[in-house]
Amino acid sequence: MSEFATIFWVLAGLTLMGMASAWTGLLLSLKGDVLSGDVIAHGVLPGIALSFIGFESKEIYYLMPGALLSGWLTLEARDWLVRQAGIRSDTASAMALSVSYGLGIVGMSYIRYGGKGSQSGLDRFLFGSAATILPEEILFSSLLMVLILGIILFKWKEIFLIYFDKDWARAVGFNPNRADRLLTLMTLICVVTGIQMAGVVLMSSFLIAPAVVASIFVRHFYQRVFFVALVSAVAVFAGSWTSAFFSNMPTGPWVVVYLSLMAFGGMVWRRIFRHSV
Amino acid sequence: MASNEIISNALEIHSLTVRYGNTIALHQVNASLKVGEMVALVGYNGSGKSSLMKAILNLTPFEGRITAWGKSVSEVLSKVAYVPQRAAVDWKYPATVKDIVSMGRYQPGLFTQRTSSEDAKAVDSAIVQAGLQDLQHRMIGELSGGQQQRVFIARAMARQADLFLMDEPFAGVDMKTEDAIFDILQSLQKQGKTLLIIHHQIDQVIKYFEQVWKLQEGKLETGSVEAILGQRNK
Amino acid sequence: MMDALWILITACLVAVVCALPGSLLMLKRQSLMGDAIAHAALPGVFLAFFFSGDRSPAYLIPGAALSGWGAAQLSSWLIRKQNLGSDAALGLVFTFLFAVGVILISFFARQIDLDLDCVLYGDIVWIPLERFYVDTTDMGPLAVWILSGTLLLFCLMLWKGWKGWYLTTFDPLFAQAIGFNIGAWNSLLMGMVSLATVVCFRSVGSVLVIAFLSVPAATAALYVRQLKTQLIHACLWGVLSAFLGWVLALPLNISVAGGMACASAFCFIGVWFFTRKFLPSYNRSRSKSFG
Repeated sequence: MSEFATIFWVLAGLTLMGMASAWTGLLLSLKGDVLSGDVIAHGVLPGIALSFIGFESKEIYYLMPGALLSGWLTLEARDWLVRQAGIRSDTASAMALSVSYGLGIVGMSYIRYGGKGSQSGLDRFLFGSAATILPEEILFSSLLMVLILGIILFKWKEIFLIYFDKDWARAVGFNPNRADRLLTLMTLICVVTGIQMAGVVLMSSFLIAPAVVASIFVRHFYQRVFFVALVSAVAVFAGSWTSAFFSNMPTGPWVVVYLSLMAFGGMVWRRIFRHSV
Repeated sequence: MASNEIISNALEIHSLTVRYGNTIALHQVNASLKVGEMVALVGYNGSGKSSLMKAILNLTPFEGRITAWGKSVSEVLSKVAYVPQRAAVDWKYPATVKDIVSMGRYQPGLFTQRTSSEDAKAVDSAIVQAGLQDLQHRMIGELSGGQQQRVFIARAMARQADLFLMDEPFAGVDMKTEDAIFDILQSLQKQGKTLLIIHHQIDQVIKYFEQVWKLQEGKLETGSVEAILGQRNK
Repeated sequence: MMDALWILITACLVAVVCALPGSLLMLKRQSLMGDAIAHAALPGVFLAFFFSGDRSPAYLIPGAALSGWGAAQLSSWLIRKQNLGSDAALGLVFTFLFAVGVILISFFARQIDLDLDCVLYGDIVWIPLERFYVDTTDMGPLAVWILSGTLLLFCLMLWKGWKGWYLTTFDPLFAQAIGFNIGAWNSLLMGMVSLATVVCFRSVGSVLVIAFLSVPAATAALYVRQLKTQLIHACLWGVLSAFLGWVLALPLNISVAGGMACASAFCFIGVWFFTRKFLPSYNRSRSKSFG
């Protein structure tokens, strides 16, 4: 395949991933639970390690179900800590994500020392590398992203209503738990496909940062829907361009740097011009 | 004749008991609301006012039977409107007044629905009735407490329901807004709607209401304002 | 055999060094600050490597502690002045600093000998190999000395500033009213967390530091109501988790740090089960009030 085609595929996959994450992050910010992406991102590690030990394959189709499952379980563990053990949600997040990550590290070290072959290909899930991704993987991720876009398109009004006032929504017949599950599913898909490109730690920036930038510049939800997509697309393009310009540069971290700079720049701009939003 | 009378009640509560763990919030409560009645629900903090309202709306598990127009409340949800406490939501939410009022028209469904002209008409008339015409494109975070309360009432009115359940609509608003909100409630009553309103200030209840439900230690007394609250305040 | 013992000692020290500031963080509802600081130390680690050219802790610790502390200050600025939710602010700051760290490391990948694996995983197995010499006399692993020094410093700080910690943690409004500078105490705590993160990440990796900051503290908080007992019990649970992790990991040939994290989770679940079964009143008083 030509170099141009590779770049095109990577860019298309990253853009789709960025926009879907931005929208999911926007909905998460309505819910007031933006860190669930971070919890899931750290939580996929044991699933990846276990799937690898089980299937002895590094192909995404084998690793993905395990990653989804363990990410979901980690999030459930956090919610369990909040509901059943009376732990505050920030402490519960810290506990769930770090313990799950620890479990993942146990699995990884078992792979490394236990003669199960190299873990090197699995590292890609941790640090993310957009450049080494295969086109069919991007196609696969893109399909999932389209699924997310579909969910958003058909469900955003309901989600918008439910997260404004859960009690009221329940009183008029909506099911907030179903919305929670739907949003969790969207976050899971976003994180698990995004991690391959952005890495465990940086994934949450793709979710959080566009919504923060949008909250600085535009006030209304409808405006934010467009704005987060724009912000994320701009950052992806700028990041890809930078990493193509300097050799040996990872794309994901540059996208994150651009996203954060937009957020910080916007805040400074708002402070200087006393623009009240 | 007797069965006719039961069906004509907008709300019937039969031996309602609500527990949280080992604590009993409401014990064997019986009450009924006639169509077109406006009743204040009073009681001290923790007397179970909110629990009663949540039980009616099926937001909390309960024992007993609650019916509206002779049917279970979940069957006639579209005719019931709820106004929650203003403090229960995040007012920094990125929405305008009109967005929130429009939410009153959404129905649960598989896909997002388009707004019909009937919906638009209901929303507009709710906004006018609540006196929010000038504010309808403002962000809800910019509103004062009384205006936010009116947004909540308008959202309930947009549902064009027949039974209104309001949780502390007068909390934290000034005297003038209180009168304005009460005018809205009275106009609803004139349209033949039934209203049950949680109120925390006894003296205001005497000023505005005729019928009252009083909750004390999980027990309910019902009757006219004079009968229930009169002696103590004279 | 001696090495295994040194690993155990290191692990216990890590647990205690993290449990002390972790308890305070949890009581101040800032557990995720540990998360942010742990990730944000990366650019500091890089800069220290870049300027010193080696893994000497003399540069590494101040460098990473400073960048972690800076991250804490930046996020508290975002929360206070920019009206950002604390989770969004932290998420923004730590991903940014981590990304900067990754970029710097990949940019200078050929000049310096530092790989991300080591920062993210840590490797407690190598700890005994790095010795501390006084006049060519072998005094034991360097990390043990550093960790013990940090622990001593923490104990000193807690002892000397006990009233301040106590008041600013439980009743910040009252503390402020009688003249305590809440901001200063908060930055002091952030400094402690940064230091704990930095001295521990070589051993257990930057993510698992979060586990030792949060899990033993939460375990103790399940049944403890006093600050002093909270601190002591958090340390005890930390040490127990470290020991269990070590026992588990060495024969199975898996990562000690990961084993410690899992063991701390087992401890938490065990204690939760116990308190629920035998001290039900504790759980009830903690659960949300009904309305």
